Amino acid sequence: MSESKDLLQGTLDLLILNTIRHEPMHGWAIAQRIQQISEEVLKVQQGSLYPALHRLEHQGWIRAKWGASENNRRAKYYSLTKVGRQKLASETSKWSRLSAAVNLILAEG
Amino acid sequence: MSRRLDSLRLRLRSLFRRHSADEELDEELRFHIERQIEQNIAAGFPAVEAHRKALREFGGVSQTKDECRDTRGFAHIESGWRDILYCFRTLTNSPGFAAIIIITLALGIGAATAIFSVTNAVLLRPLLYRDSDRLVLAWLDFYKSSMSDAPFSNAEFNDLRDGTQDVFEEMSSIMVFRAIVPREGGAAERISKAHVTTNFFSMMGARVALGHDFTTADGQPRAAQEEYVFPPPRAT
Repeated sequence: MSESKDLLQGTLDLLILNTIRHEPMHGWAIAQRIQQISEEVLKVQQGSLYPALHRLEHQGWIRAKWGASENNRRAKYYSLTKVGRQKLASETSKWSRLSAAVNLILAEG
Repeated sequence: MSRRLDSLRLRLRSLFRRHSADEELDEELRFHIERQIEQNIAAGFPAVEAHRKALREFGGVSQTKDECRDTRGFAHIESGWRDILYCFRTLTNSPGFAAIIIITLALGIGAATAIFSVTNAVLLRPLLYRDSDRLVLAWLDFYKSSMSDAPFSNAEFNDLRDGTQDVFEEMSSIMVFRAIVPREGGAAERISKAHVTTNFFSMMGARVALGHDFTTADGQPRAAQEEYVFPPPRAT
């Protein structure tokens, strides 16, 4: 139970880090972007998104800053820190190895 | 390093400026819902329905807030503080009970402290003297006359010292008194004094504050003066 939750949590972290790697984004936009790019397969509920954002901020991987949104309201924008960028690189390669390995197993069956 | 500092800064902020951190969280989540409503309207939903749909999709707001708060790391301190306040409120509702608890605790802590300070001074802390773990104190008890703590006579002390040289490395003697002495203004003052053998201070590792310590020669009886006794003792 907790292992599958860990796996999902780590995956969501990876998705968030990757989504904001080019520009600072607020929570709603992050969820939208993930949903769009995954062609509506991955829907990030706010109940997972915001705790994850706050956790990542505390781990020092992302940084939050208030800014004006596209509709000119105050929104909290998240961007990668230096450590977060390193973390993204290492997590991405870890994920590639894992998915490649899983694919190898499945392809054999 | 700076990452640790950042995290510490966030934690402290959430502890001391909890309200502001909560307000920011509120604002962040409110923004999310508003953007969702706008999107729903853009997708063609009427305003009321767009609103309802956004809230429904958003799900449990307070649960999300709790989870965000938990990541701040000082949540347990906050909840500990709430527990203390609750405890305090409960106690003020029953002051008699509270008083009994407080008195019981005070007496218990006081007694334990007193016992410990005596134990610490008497048993745990080593004596200030040199080789305090090898020091022993000997005295005389007269069981028949039920007299205890009696001093040795000079002769007994000498016999004891000379007869136990293979047992004790050194032996010295002390005898304490109280004395009344006149002060300069004519008032009386009670002092503690002691008679000691010449080796007492050196054996205990004490230094003499003023003047010089006794030497062995100081302890030697002076040569008897020539005496004349009348009538002269008869030669035997």
